[in-house]
Amino acid sequence: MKTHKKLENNEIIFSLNSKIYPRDVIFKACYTFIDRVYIFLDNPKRNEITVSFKGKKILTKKQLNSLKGEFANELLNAILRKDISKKNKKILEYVVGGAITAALEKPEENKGPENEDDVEIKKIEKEIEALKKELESEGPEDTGDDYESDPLGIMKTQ
Amino acid sequence: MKTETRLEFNKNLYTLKSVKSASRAYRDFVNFKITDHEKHIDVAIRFAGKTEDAEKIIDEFKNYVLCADIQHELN
Repeated sequence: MKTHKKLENNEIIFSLNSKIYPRDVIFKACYTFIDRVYIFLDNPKRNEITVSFKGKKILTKKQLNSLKGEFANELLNAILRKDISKKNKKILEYVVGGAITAALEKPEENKGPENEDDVEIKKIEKEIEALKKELESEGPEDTGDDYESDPLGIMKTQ
Repeated sequence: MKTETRLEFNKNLYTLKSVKSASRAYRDFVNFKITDHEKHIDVAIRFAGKTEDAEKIIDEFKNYVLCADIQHELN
C-alpha cells in the first residue's frame, strides 16, 4: 500500500494492488468507512487502484493515518470473508435447499402428535362405521307393511 | 455565483447506471451533464451557490455513486 499524497486538504490518497485486493473486496471495505469519510476510487494503471479518503470533519494527520490503517485491516477482513463464503457456498446451498424442501412438503406429513379432539373424532367415526356394517349384515328390515301378512294371527278365515 | 466542476469516474470501478442514479438523486441541487467515454464517465457539474457547499455536494455525490455501485453489486 503506497501513500501518494497525504494529509493535504484533510485528505489521504493511497494506492492498492488490484491483484491482491480485488475490486469487490475494496468496495466492501469502503462501504464500512462511508459514514466517516468521503471516498473516491480511481484506476490510473492496470493493476493499481487509488483510494482517496477525505474526512467529513476536520481530521489530524494522525487520525488520517489511523483511518488508512483501519482500512487496510478491513480489506483483510473482507478478503477472509470472501474466502470463507466461497468455501461454505455448497454447504449453505444444501442447508437452504433442504429447509425449503421441508417447508414445501404436505402439511399432513408434517403434523405432530394428534390432540385429544382428533382422537375422539376418530373414535366416533370408527363406531359409526361399525354400526353401519352391523346394519348392512342384518339385511333389509321386515316392516310388515304387506297387507296380506298376519304376524299376530288376527285374521279369521270363513 | 455559478460554480462548475468536472469529475471522471473510471469504468473499471464505477458504472454508468450508478452515476445516473446518483445524478438523479442530486438533480434538485445541481445541473449535470454526463458523457460516456470508452474508459471513463465524464460528469460536468454546474451549480449556483456557495463554493463550500459545492465542494460538500460533490463529495457527497461521489459517495453516493460508490454506494449505488455496491448496492448494484449486491443485487
